[in-house]
Amino acid sequence: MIALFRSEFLKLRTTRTAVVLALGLLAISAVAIVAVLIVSEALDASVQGDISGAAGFSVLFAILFGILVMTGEFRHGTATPTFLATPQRERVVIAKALAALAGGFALALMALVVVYLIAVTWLLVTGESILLFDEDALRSVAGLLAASAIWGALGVGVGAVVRSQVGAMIGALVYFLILEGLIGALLSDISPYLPGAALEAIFEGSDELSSWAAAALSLGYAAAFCIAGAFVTARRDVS
Amino acid sequence: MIEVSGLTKRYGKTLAVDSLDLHVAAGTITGFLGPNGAGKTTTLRALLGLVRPTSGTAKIMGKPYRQLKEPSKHVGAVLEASNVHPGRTGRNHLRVLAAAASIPESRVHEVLALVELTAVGGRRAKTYSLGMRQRLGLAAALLGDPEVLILDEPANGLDPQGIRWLRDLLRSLAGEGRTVLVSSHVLAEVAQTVDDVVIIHRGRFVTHATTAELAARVAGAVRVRSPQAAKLREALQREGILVTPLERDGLTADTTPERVGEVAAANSIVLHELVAESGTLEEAFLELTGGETVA
Repeated sequence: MIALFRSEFLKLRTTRTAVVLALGLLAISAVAIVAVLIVSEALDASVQGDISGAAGFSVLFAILFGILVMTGEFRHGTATPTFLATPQRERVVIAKALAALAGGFALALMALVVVYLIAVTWLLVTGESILLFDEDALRSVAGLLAASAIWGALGVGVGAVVRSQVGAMIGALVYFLILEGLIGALLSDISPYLPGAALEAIFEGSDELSSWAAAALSLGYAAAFCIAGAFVTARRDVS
Repeated sequence: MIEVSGLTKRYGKTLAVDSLDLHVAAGTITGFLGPNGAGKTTTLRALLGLVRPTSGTAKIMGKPYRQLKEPSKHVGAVLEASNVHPGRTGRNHLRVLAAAASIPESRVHEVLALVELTAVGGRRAKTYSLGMRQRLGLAAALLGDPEVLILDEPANGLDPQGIRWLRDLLRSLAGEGRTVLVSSHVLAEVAQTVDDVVIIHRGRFVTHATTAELAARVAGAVRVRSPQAAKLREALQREGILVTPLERDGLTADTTPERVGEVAAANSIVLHELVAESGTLEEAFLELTGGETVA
């Protein structure tokens, strides 16, 4: 399994995919934090939560990252040599899920560093001061790191189940933008427990879910997709 | 070394491979031939655990590929030249595979040199020609220094020099005692390299023969002229050889010249002419596979 991790991390380091994603995320996060700072009339405590919020795109980038990590193997035909080297294909999916977990965490960390650097610089330049970190802010930061990591793994699971790169990305988008709302409207009893709602509850909790429960539920979704993905990947023909 | 028995693979209504048996002895180079769409790739992918057979078994060294321990160190395979991430360099492609199989990095440089790609190893794969990608695939197959090599149409995309280079490489690999199974839809590509030929057509086994046998058996009837043609005909038929009389004192026998000579000698029959009507191997191949295509 250690050999597999080394191989997967080497894969990430030897193409531009991860770098391009990271740079894209950092650019968007930078624009978002600058917008927050400009738009806020007074830099008071209400801005505090918006600072880490500006790094929130990392969750979206994390699931995208996970999907790319998994479906790239099928898109470029590298699944064949990968599965020849490791015929226990479910282990490949697990290694990728853990790599994407780390990748999602790293994406969130980088985005957070950038938004806080910009925010601190802004405050130094304008001479204003607010309390950057209190308990709520730390909770948001921890939540974003956890959510991005979990959604990275979720992306691998979704990618393994769907297999088609475009299909997985569009599928994930359609689900979170349209389907979850529809399902929630039809079945209001389960709507707080759907993946998107669970994600939101990680940050501030909801009536039904504490932050911890929401994180555990999200992890459960990621694990379920990864297990299903590992199962079908091990059984489907590779050609 | 390679043992396929009763292998069947069905895709919906299409029967890609139909209860195929295939046996490759250790230390031989076997050509796996058939027209495009005959089921060669499906068979090889089943052998490598990538395709799940509908029924039957495919084993290498007595085990299904997926049960081999450290498979890369026993079996190397080249399936498709395009199985490389276009943005990754050739060298990094090999490093990734070496890492997964716990093969030291030094081996990456060895195999790059072996396939003569050292100079372009640092370039992204999308800049490679088809021939270079074939060589990269071969390098990947050789990473683990395997005893068994399975190559699917490795000559595709190679220029004539490349084909000669491949032939020499395969010969030297077999000379080291490795077992090689190499598929092709063009017999001429492998005829000079392989010991044995297995021909399949429409997913079914057609024949397994040495290249010499194949040439003799199919297109190679023997034309004989003898003043004792009638006696020779009887003698050959007694041996179970198919004989067709020709004009005057001639006949053709469906066997090898050696056999006709032996039968004639044993019966003290005088021969005036003994000619092997050797058609080319390609004719033999087409006769075995092309004939059915019309039907």
